Parts: sequence; structure tokens; C-alpha cells
Amino acid sequence: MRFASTFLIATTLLLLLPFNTAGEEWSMEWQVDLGEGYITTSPVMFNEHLFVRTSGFWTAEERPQVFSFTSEGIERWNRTSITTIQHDLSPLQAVPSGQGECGNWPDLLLIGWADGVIEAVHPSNGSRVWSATSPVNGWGITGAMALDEDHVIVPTRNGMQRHCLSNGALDFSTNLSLGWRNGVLATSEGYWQGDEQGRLWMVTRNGSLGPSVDLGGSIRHAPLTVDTGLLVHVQYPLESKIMHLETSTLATTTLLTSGPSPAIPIQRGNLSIFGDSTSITSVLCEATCVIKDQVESTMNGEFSWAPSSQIYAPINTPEGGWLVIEVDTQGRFLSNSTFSTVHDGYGTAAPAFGTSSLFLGNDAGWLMAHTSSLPPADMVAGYDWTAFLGAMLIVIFSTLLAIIARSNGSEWGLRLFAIMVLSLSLLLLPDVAQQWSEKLPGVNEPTAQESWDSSWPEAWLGTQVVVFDFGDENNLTLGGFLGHESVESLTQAALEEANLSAEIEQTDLGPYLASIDGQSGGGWEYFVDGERGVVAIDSASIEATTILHWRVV
Amino acid sequence: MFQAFGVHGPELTPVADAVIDVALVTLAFAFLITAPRSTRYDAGLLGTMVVAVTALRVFMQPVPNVQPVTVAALLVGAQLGARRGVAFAILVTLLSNMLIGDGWWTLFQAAGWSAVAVLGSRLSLTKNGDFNHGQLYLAVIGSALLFDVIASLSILTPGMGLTDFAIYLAHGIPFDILHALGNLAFAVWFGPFVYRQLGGLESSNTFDQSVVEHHVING
Repeated sequence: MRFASTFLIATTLLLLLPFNTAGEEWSMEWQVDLGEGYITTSPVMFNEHLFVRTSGFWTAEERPQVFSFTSEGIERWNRTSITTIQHDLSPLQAVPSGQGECGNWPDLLLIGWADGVIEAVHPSNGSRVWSATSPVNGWGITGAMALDEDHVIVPTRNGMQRHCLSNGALDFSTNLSLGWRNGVLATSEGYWQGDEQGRLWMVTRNGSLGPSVDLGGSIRHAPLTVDTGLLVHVQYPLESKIMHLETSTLATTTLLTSGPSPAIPIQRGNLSIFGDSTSITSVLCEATCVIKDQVESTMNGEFSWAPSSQIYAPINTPEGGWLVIEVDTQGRFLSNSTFSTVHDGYGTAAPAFGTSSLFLGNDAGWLMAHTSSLPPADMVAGYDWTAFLGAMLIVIFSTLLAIIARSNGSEWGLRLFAIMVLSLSLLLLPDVAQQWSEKLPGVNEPTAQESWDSSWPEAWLGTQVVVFDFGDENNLTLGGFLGHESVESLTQAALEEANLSAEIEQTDLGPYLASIDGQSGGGWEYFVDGERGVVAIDSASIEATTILHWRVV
Repeated sequence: MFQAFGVHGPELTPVADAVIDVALVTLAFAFLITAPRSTRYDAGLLGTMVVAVTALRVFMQPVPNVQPVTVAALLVGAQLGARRGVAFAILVTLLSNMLIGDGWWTLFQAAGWSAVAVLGSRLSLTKNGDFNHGQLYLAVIGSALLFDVIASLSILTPGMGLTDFAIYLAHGIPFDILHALGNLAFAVWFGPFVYRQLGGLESSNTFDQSVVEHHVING
């Protein structure tokens, strides 16, 4: 009876494990008042750090800033534009490191300022990689930039510019017409951008003008591309129209006439979501585009998709908050609710999402971080069945153990129990030992290069740097490496560049660097940004701006 | 004598390495010679144990800190006495380290397992003719910690303070626990059997008869 009860309870508990689908619960983790100005564009999560900008119409000494925070809310750096006085509505653009025909670039944060300046800065420290200028007529850049391989396309006040990501070199500057908050769309045909006169322009990749169409009103966002053409939400004085444009014939169709002040639409697959001062609308485009659903709201800003496939929309009213809409793949709004904070009010900035974090900003300049106790949706979708199978094996093993113990006395039960506990301990040891060691201070920690050395070349800023420390202050430092994701890969690249030989032994725990340039000493150990490496070099992941220090013991 | 100080303590020159090995062998034979006289069977059994446990240690080397030598040293000490136990511990350490890596640490490992053998010799694993499982389990847990502390002394270098050493020991706690669990598993599976094979409990009629029969019949 006791065995049966135990088995029943264990099995029931086990079956409950993968089916825990409780709703997402957010709790406020930290908040920061960014001072004067609004947060009108979405914070950006990049390399596990948060970037956010303030905007406003500046008349006194205050000026707009771009901030970088850790996900724990600690400010890392901030950057002020002393020459910008108009609203900065151009969303920050994070660019992972890469290479192309016009050169290599490290991780970048692109900032378009309302004074017409385009800046590329190192996300790690905010220092400038390159900058460029664009025309100003009252204001300069206010729309969303677009990336096209090794280039960035910038919507300027009166047209469009294309710059090389590696050094900011100008490819072309094309005059169109005056625009505001008018983002760029990059497609296989070229670049699409609207203006305040309601004309939608196409610019080819060499900068020459392609076809254009007059839609009337004003176009204040980048169009969306669908299989059948483009979708544009055009603003008119008292209303707006969601329009479909057949790009080959330039024929237009009005899908919906709705409220004024369109939001910046968002898209996932065939589904597009539009907002304005009266409603939020879903449009599904397959053979044709059709309106699928609507919900009343006042939404004039940016949408974002949560990892759990919900839409978050800032409600632009004095009461504010964020409308959270559950939408299915057919565009049906299954449910909606309002996410409230202690600082609710007018807002247009979409939230940013971290692994299990939600970052919100509003017109009052409050940046707020919330965390969820539940695993993120992508982790749930990619459920690791290994753990489940392991749990099943433990239950089966325990059940066998109980049967054997019951039929043959306690001795064999104890033996099997001992083996099970030892096996589990061996499986858990690597994680437990690592977590335990991270909580303890180090022993006689040797000094390792953990931060930028001012004697290093500026060109290495924002890249990966490797220090080979042969002892007795005999160091070899190499930098400018990009895109390596493991200590092993970065080390190999540095060894090749330095033309050094190395002996790497394969062990049960992974590859082990035994000697460099014939020097083995008492072994080699590595430090990543000053932290001693605790796993094999092929398992040790690194960030885009890592300083890797190899030290002979 | 030392070339340098590495992560496992001083790096020995080949000569220093050889000197330590010879000193340990001499010490082992000294303990064997001064031990009470034993039969050829006992000597053969001890030799077989040394070889078998050495092989087992080498075989289990990839498994982190699961050390069959600890339980074996405890049981040899308990059954054959402190001197033979210490000789056993030294010989197993020397032989196995020749295969998996010799160095300064050999001295401390030998000292650690010798201490375990001495601890074993102080134990009375039979109580009223019955094998005392509980005492064995407590002893193997304690001997894991005893060995790990002594073996850890090998990393002491000039300039390393008591605090640093304590932190070093703290870092190793998960591995110490694993050592203790490994010892428990060995003790549960083989403890009474090895103890009996080493010559004890012949007079006991009550000792774990099922185990004895099982091994004798299936053997």
C-alpha cells in the first residue's frame, strides 16, 4: 500500500512538470527617472545590456541623452548631444559585429540625432566609432534607420543617405522631400520611404530615384512589405487609411479607414498590426490582404512582440499603461488586458524584452524593469526533454529500487540507492561546483587584464582582445578580432595572427591548452574580462568585446 | 629542488621526484617489516589488494574525486593494522601515480591515505560478532574529509595565508561531498565483503550470511 501510494504521488508530480502553463507574472525589479525629457522610442536590449534614449524640445541647459544600463539597472555610460534641441524620435539601432565589402565593424549602436548627426558608438563604453552628418531643416533625423548587409540607410530630413557600417563612409545622398518620423524599408528592389506630402519613394541601391506614388496625407513610418506589395498607414487630418500598394503597377487599395495619428505598424509573417487614436487593427495578407480583427485603444507609438507572442502597445492617454493583446496566427485578438505600472501616463515607446525581463519607458521619463518568474516562451517552446527523460529514469529506478527493497530486504535497496545518489551527484557536480565557486572569493587570484588599456590602439575598441602572458612582464597583446563566440575560437585566431604554435590536448573535460610557442610552464590558464575560466575552452562563451588573458602558470 | 610553484604546488625536478618516490617506497617497506609477522597468504592478499586497488584507481580516474583507495585503506587498516595499512596506502599511491601523474602531491596523497589507514586501525568494525555497518559508513565519510584536507596541503606555497587555504578548501567542498558519497557507495557494495576477505569475522556466524553465500556460491 505504501509503495503504491509513493508511486502514485511520484508519478502525479512528474506528470505535472511539463504542463505548468500559468500566466505570465511580472514584478517590478528596478526603476530609474531619466530626468528631463520623454522616452519616446523603445529601449533596446543588446548583448544583455539595455540602451535607451530621451527626447524632447529642449530650451534650457538640458539636452537629450542615450544611456546604457546593465539589466540590473546600473548605469554603464551615457552620451549627450549638446547640439540637439528637437524631438529625437529615431529608434536606436543595434548592429552585431560583421564584415562586408566595405570593411569589418564591431558591435555598434547607431544613433540618429534630431540635429542631423548619425553616430555609431561602441555599445560597451559609448565611445564613438564614426559619425556623419545629414541635412537639417528645423530638425534632422527622426525616422527609423534600416540595415542592408554592410550598410545603414538613414532617413534624413529631406531624403535618404546610405553609409558603410565599418567607417561611416557615405555611399549616396538622395534628395526626396521633407519627412518626419519617416522610417526606411529595405527590400530586394531597393529602399522605400515616405514623406510629409504623402509620397512614397523608392530609391535604388545605387541611390537613383525609382518609382514613387502619391498617397496623399503624410507617411510617418516605414512601409511594411508583404507578398503582394507594401502596406502603408497614411495619416490625414482627421483620419488615417491602411493602404495596400501593388509595387509593380503602383496600384493602391484602401483596406481600412480608421482614426487619426497612426502608430508605427509591426509585422510577423503574414500578420501586420496597425494602431491609431481609435483602434488597433490586425491585417492578414495571403493571396490578398484582409482586416482580421480590431480592438479599441489609443495607440500612436510603437508596438513590440513579447517572447510569448503577445503584442504590447503603449496606450497614449493620461491614464496610460500598456495594452497586452493575445493574438493568434490568423490575426484574431483572443484577449486583451492592460499592464499598469506606478508611473502610467502618456507613452509611445514599445517595451523591450530580455531573457525574462520587461523594460518599459514612458513620456514621464521613467525607465522601469520588470522580471518574470516563469521561463521565457522561447525556452518553453524549446523544452529540453533531456531533463524530463532524466526525471523519468529516476522515477523508474526508484520504483525498481522500492520493489527490490520490498522483496529482498533492505540491503539491495541501499546498494541501488547509493549508486543512484552517486550518479546524480556526478551529473550535478559541474554545475554545482561552478555555482559554488562563483559565490566564493578567489584564492591568490593572479592579476588579469580585465579592462581597456589606454596604450592599446583605438581601432581595437569594441573588438575582442587577446593577451598572451608569458610571465616576467613578457606579454603579447593582439586585438581587433570580431565575431568569435568561444575562447577556443578566439585563441586560435590570435595564435594564427601571431604565428605562434600551440599544443592543445584533448581531455575528457574538453580541449586543454598545454603550451604556447613551446612554453608549457605549469600549464596555461585563461581569464575572460578578468574572471578565471572554469570550463574547457570550447565551452567558454565570450562576448563581442571580450578581453581574453592567457597566463602561463 | 623545486622548479617553480604551479597550480598543484611546487613543480619538482626529476631528481626531487625520484628522491620522494624512493623515500616513500623505503617507508612502505619499513612499515611492512616492522609489522607483526604474517603468513604468505596475508602477504599475497595484501599484494593483490595493492595491485587491484591501483588498477581500480587508474580505471576510475576520469570520474571526479571518486576514490576507491580511501575505503580500501580504511578497511586494510581496520583489518590488518596501522602499519600494513600505511604501507598499503603508500604503495597504492606510488603505483597509481606512476600511471596517472607523479609529483609533489604524491607525498600528500600518500600521507592522506596513510592517515585514513591509521583511522581504520582505530575502528572496531565488529560489534558482538556482527559487522557494524553504521560505523563503517560514518568512518568512510570522515575519511573522505580527512584525506581531502591532507592532500590539499600540497598546494600551500610561500605567501599563501591561512585564509587563502581556507578559501581553497571551501572551493573544494562539492568535490569533498562527492568523495564521501563515492566512499559510501563503495562501502555499501563492497565494504563487508572486502573486510571479510581480509581475514576477519571467520568466527562470526551471524555476519551477513546472505552476502557470504551469494559471493561464495556465485564465485
